[in-house]
Amino acid sequence: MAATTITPRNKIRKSFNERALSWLAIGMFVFLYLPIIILIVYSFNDNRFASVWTGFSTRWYTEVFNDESVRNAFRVSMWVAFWSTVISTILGTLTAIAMERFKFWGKVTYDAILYLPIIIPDIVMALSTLLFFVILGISLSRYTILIAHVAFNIAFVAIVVRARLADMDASLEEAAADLGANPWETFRRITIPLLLPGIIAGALLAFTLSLDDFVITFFMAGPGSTTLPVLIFSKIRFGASPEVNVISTLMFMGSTILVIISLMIQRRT
Amino acid sequence: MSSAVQITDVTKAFGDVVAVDNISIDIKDGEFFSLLGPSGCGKTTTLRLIAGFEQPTIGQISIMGQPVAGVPAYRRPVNTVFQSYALFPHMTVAKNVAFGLEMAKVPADEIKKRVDAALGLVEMDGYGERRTTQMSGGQKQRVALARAIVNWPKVLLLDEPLGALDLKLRKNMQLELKQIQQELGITFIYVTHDQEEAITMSDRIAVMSDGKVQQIGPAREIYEQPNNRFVADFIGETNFINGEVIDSDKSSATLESAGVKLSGAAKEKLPTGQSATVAIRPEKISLSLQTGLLNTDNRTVTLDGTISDIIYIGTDTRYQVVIPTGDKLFVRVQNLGRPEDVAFNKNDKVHVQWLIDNAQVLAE
Ligand SMILES: Nc1ncnc2c1ncn2[C@@H]1O[C@H](COP(=O)(O)OP(=O)(O)O)[C@@H](O)[C@H]1O
Ligand SMILES: [Mg+2]
Repeated sequence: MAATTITPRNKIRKSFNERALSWLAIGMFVFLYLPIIILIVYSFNDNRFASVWTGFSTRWYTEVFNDESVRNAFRVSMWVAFWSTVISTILGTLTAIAMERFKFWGKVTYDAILYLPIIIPDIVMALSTLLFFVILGISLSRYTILIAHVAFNIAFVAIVVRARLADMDASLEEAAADLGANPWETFRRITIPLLLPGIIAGALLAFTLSLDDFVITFFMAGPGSTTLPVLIFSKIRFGASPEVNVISTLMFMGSTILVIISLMIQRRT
Repeated sequence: MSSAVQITDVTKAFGDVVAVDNISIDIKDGEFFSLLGPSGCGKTTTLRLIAGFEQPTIGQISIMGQPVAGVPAYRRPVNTVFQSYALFPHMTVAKNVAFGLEMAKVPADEIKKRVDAALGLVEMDGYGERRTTQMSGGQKQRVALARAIVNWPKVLLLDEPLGALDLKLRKNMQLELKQIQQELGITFIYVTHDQEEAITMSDRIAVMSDGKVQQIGPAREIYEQPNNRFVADFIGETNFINGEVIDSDKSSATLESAGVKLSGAAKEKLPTGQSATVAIRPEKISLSLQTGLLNTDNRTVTLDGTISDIIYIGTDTRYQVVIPTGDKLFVRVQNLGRPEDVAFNKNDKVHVQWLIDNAQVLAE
């Protein structure tokens, strides 16, 4: 019993450790978020040179909203993110179900290959996909971006949905069959509703990843099919401008909202 | 009576594991039939073969006279109460119970009536709008039962439905289940590893071990006339005395063990010289002091014995008696006397007697 009693010295050391840890945590947060906060603040800078503060203004926001190249990039980004999410959510969910519920030849190998896009460096994915399109003689467009995004998003959706599926009691599906539900009814009334939180989380993840992707998109982007991250990159080559800050701020806000929605959905179930 | 379920020469193997080994069972319409055996003996697999979740490796199954090979689970006229209950967590109690009727496209107003009736039958009226996730084990068990019987299945399969409940609740539910079965006249196929449960509830029992059926019959037959040593040992308590057959006809046999002759009932003529076992239940043995009067006739076995241990257990006293073969027999004697009465003391010399018909001579 005596060994477990906290002596004053232990107490002091413990609170010292605790304090050091909390300072470390605060330090990490500052390091992570200070640049973003500066970015947001400077997006309201009146000066045309991004690094010199002269006064508060929203004129760059107006400028960005009226910039045809930004509006076009926004449309491409949204189009790619939306369709790659739809396609990869459907395919990723079906893949997860197949992997978890059925036995088939070469399953273990397929299992490993499916998750490769997550570990392979983006630049390798990008180069190999580009090479693939070039060899097939396919010219680059928003469709090639879409195909590349679907390719990596399927893996992420499949992982998220599969985790949920592994938690699900397989006897629920048997119970449905036992009560006269054919395989389609079982899928529609039992499997899908129970997987829904996982599917939505997977879809939001896919949407965010697609919106944020730069490396792969940069290699796939054909003329006129620039996405927002690629546009930011091309603009920044002519020097940091308040316009770039504005676009980045808006993208940051968009992603944050998506993540919050995703967390809320997962929390609720 | 016609058959509800006929299992004919069925074997089910999972790779190298033979879960069910060449079993044949004929379950009558309206019967309360139990599959009884230790864990891993193939009870659940047998049930899953009937439900259609597994296909036999060899053999055939018929339900209500129809062979069901190739008929998927959702087209079979049976319903299951799962061991884990398997209630749908995203639906209310009423939605769970209505599920089967909705699949059968029963009109909505009739669904409502039947769901209410089923919930009434399991004493869960008023719980329809509750979620199943926050219910107790007993409540879940009732909902699972309602969800199955609401479909008026020809056959209800129950896989250790009371396994997760505490003793008192289990005893109550045993009575209720039996009542519901008689009320509805549905065939129940009931899986349990609890011999007492099987004996109190069933019309007939199939005792299984290692994927094989050891004996099928009414509870009384299985208890009083076990086919073999496994059945005698698994159901209730039994004394075994090993010996060698010296005489036998088609309904009885006499063994010799360490010079002592022991007779008992037998199910077939046993070859002379074969080793065999006499099985005798502790409550079938009577004890009397050697100083007292002794009644013997040719229908009883009488041996000398010495009391070597005494355990008082309230309703009975259990005596351990050493007999001349060297075996120790357990004997149960009901405590009929006055509170202070002690029938026997340790080291008392006693006569040990039983009726020949009450002892079973078992081959193996
Ligand atoms: N799907 C399966 N795959 C492999 N072995 C199984 C499977 N189902 C059951 N078994 C094996 O079959 C045997 C009988 O199992 P089961 O029917 O569940 O027994 P019980 O219900 O009597 O406890 C066990 O040895 C078990 O491990
Ligand atoms: Mg079992």
